[in-house]
Amino acid sequence: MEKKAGIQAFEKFKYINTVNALAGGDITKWSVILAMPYDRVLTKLLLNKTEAEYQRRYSELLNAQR
Amino acid sequence: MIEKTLKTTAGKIQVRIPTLLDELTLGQMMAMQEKHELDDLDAISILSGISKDELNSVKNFEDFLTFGDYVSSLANQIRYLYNNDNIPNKVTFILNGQKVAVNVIRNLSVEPAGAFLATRDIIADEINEHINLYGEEDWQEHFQPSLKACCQVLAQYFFCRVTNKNYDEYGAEAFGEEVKKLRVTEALPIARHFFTCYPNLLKQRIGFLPRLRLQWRKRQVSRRLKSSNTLIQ
Repeated sequence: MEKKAGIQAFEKFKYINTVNALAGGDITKWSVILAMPYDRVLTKLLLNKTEAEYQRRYSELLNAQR
Repeated sequence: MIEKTLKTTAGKIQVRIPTLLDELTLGQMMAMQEKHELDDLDAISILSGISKDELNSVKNFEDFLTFGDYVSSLANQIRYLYNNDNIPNKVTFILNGQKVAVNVIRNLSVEPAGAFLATRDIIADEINEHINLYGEEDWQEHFQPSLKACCQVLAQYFFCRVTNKNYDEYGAEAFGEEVKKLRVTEALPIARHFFTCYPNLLKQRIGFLPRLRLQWRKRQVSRRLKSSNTLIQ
């Protein structure tokens, strides 16, 4: 689905995609994130991923109950 | 180093070139690698820092023969340069006339996050370019990163450590000019380390067997990482 919608167009922005997502789209926060220790950034990325997976499963369960 | 004074149509010039790999800077090696159809005079020009026009004004071209022998000898030594994995304990930069020594062997992590992410992209691009040119099969066997990519990786690794400044992507990129002044024999093993331990750029130097195990896992991990920047959207 994401591919069909053209997610590959973001590839050219490389790691800025990660930084922008972590900054919540706020450009003024990019430099703060770039200067953080990488393990903190990695932890946040893993947390986001876990949250997204949980939300997806939760939605699936809710839909199955209806 | 070998130094000779040569007669030119306008007077004299002093030509001084390195004779050992240890005297060669990364910048000189990069200039030679980037030059298409490099001849002896190009090499002497890059190694001495004297323009080719000025070298062309030398009256007796046989004066260059001595340098030619050293250039050939250097070319032979360069062939084995990528096999050298002796990471130096310390590396010294000269910034604004001040010596800045940085411990390397005890801290081979690419930090902070900006440097890590940029380095990961530089290495991934270099590997992808190699795979596009030569195919994916056994790419690790014959992969040699370009000196330009090595310089970019080292600029990211050293920028905050040497300047004590907060990470800034433009500053880190510009720091490549300082990295070019490093001796190629100290710069390349450090860069090679990062290409070897990719994608884990926080990892300390590892021995042969763990590295071999890493190679087995590498292909799968690198496939996942290639699309990780878009996956988090």
